[in-house]
Amino acid sequence: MSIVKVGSLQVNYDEVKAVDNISFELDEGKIYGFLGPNGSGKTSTIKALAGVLEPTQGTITLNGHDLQTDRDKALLKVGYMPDFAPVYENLKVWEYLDVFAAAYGMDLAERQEHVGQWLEKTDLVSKKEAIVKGLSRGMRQRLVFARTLLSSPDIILLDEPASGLDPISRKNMRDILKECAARGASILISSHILSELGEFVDSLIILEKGRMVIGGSLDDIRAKIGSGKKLTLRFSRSEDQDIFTRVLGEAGIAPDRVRTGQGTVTVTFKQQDGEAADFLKKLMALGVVPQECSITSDDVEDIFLKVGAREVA
Amino acid sequence: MIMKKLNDNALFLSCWYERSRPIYVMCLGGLIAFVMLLSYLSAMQYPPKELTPFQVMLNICEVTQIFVLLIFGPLFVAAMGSREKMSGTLDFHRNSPEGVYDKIAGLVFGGAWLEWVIFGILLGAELLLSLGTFKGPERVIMFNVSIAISALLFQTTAALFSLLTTKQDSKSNPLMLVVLLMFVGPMISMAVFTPIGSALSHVLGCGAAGYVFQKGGEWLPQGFFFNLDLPLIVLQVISQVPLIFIMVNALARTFCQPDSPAWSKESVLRICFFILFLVTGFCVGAITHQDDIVYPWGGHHNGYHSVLLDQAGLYTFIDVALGMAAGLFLAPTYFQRKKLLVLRAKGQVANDWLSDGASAFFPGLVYVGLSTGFYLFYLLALKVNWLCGSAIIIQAAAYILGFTGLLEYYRLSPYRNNKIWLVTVLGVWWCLLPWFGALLRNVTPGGEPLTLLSPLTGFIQTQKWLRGESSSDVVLLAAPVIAAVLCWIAAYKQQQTFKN
Repeated sequence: MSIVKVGSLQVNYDEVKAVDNISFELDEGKIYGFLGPNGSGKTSTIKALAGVLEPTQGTITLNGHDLQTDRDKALLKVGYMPDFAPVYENLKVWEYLDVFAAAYGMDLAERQEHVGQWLEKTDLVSKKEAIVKGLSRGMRQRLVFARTLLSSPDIILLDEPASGLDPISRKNMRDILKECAARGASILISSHILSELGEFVDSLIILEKGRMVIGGSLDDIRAKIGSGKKLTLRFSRSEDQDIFTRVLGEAGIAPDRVRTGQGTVTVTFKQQDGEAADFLKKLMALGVVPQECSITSDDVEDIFLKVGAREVA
Repeated sequence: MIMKKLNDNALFLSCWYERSRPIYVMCLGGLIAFVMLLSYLSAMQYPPKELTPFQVMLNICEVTQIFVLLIFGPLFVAAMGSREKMSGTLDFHRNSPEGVYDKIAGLVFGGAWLEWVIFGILLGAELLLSLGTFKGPERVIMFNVSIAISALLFQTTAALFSLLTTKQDSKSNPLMLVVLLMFVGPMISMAVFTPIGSALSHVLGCGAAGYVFQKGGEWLPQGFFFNLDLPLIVLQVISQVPLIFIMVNALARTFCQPDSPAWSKESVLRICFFILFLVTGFCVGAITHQDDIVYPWGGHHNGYHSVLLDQAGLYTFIDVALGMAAGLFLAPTYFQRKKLLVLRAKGQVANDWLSDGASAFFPGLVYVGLSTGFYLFYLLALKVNWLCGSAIIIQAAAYILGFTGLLEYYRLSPYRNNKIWLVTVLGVWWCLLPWFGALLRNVTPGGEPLTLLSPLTGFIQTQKWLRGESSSDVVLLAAPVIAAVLCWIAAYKQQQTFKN
């Protein structure tokens, strides 16, 4: 069921159209990757959804409430994390979280419980009494992440949440977001770290120059853009390499679909069906025994590059 | 609306935590106590004859309250508001589901909670001290009510201006405004003891001083508003409470509509009506009670006609200055205009002449109508002939509408980001051409219309007309009227181009 509905959204900065007439819906319990090059309108869209920027036109419905006419109800269950970490420099870490727990209508007892819980989840318990001014960039990012999820929002809007985080914190963040999605929250996350997005997003929305290039589940997008499978092989014997080259020629695979590197060779197949598996079977029938072998789909980075390249062209 | 408890209010808590560090509270509290003690000891060195030690202490408490709540309070609210804006946490509060009036209350009371606590403590002390003096608790309460209302106005104003500061501005902007409001305003109003000065003194809450600095058991003279004799506190409420509502409305828009102007066109017109109403009310009060007014320099008024003439001249100035200031809010920006056109195309705008993106022409006309309505009082009372009256009204309208038209053209035109263009055009219009006209007038009688192009030199002509020193010739007004029409033709053309 759609929990966020965006219709014909347009955001203008003077004559520049930052967001140009985009429409999409976000379903409950799903994680959406929000991609696009710099200046493609991701941040403006997220800000408009969070109610901190007035769109030039378009409708935004959050949890069934129109953001323009029914603002308080629409924002009741929305968590928003901007691309930088806005903090009160002179407050203690727990005080900062307490302030925003109060903003979401929690009483003192609830606040204490939630603040303690989120300090633990984001690994900030040891910094509970520390002044925010003294925190590192990564810690601030974790603190703002905790603030965003403090009220158990149904709609979570994250703009570059992983920037400045170490690998352990990133993994922790991914796990937390998966938990949120499992309880039914809809998550829109923009990030430049595409390799990580692929591990946990269900769907993608890709913007280019303010327009939506493509949107949908990963499989749907792969099908739409004709994304195929990748067969990666590592050979231990030189005769296997010769057989491989011969079979490649017989199958009529163009050289630009073959990539070699670090002892491996990767062949891209255009079709999603069993073309790659058939090719591998044929090799093995001819006695080839690869040292390593894997068949994978296009990851988020590949999809983004393909879609982006097509748009620019 | 039921307001949330302050200890569950996010903005209040954010300010509370920051300002409740024991060292900070002790420093401020200790400093105030030390200053009060020194003041008392210094006063008792040479005790005034008519004042008892209780009375001296009471006066010190009252003066301290003024400083703490009316000076420190707005400064801290402005600082807290700037902190929200600069750090970006304001967006979190905009995004939170907390009611907008809770947010406003949190910022206004949270920013200055320590000052309000000190105010409350001093109020308790004053009530005790008043039992031993001639003032009595009722005057202490009146004084405190007066201070509290002023504090609400100053603090909401400080909160609004701090939230309107952009990141590019320095933090000093809202602070400078508050300082200006509090120091320069009363000084000007005291220096120029005119009915307008008296209006300003009520807006600034100077009425409270009447409850502090009184001799013996006498009350200070009451204030005059139209033909009413009203207690100072009532005049203060009349002057300040509507302004508080206007500030709160603007704050609400700042939270809910971050990219729209803080004041809607309706609010701007309401403020204008209110200011012109106050000016006229105090002016009528001054005229009808001119025999009761005691000027601080011990002088006397120069007669009914002279007072009225001065007030009419002052009204002209206020009318045009206010109209131009209103024009800054009434003329739409490119963004607002664009948004309005989109909404109109989708049939979502019903009554659009007051929308943010609508042209300033009709709201400008409404302002001119309002100001003319009040102006008629002055002109009728002065028994100015209809030709002269029309000339003055047309002149003021031409300045206001001309400036607003130019501003509208500028904001919708491709020059909208080029402030030098606007300054140059205004410089030519208001300075160069009138200066050329003044030079021309020395050589030939034909230069007068050019001097009337500028509101600055135009006022001199208005004064001459009012005083009958020069015959009013409506034809002379052709220049400012033509300038205004040209500005509006340009603005209209720009609107058309914009649509395409």
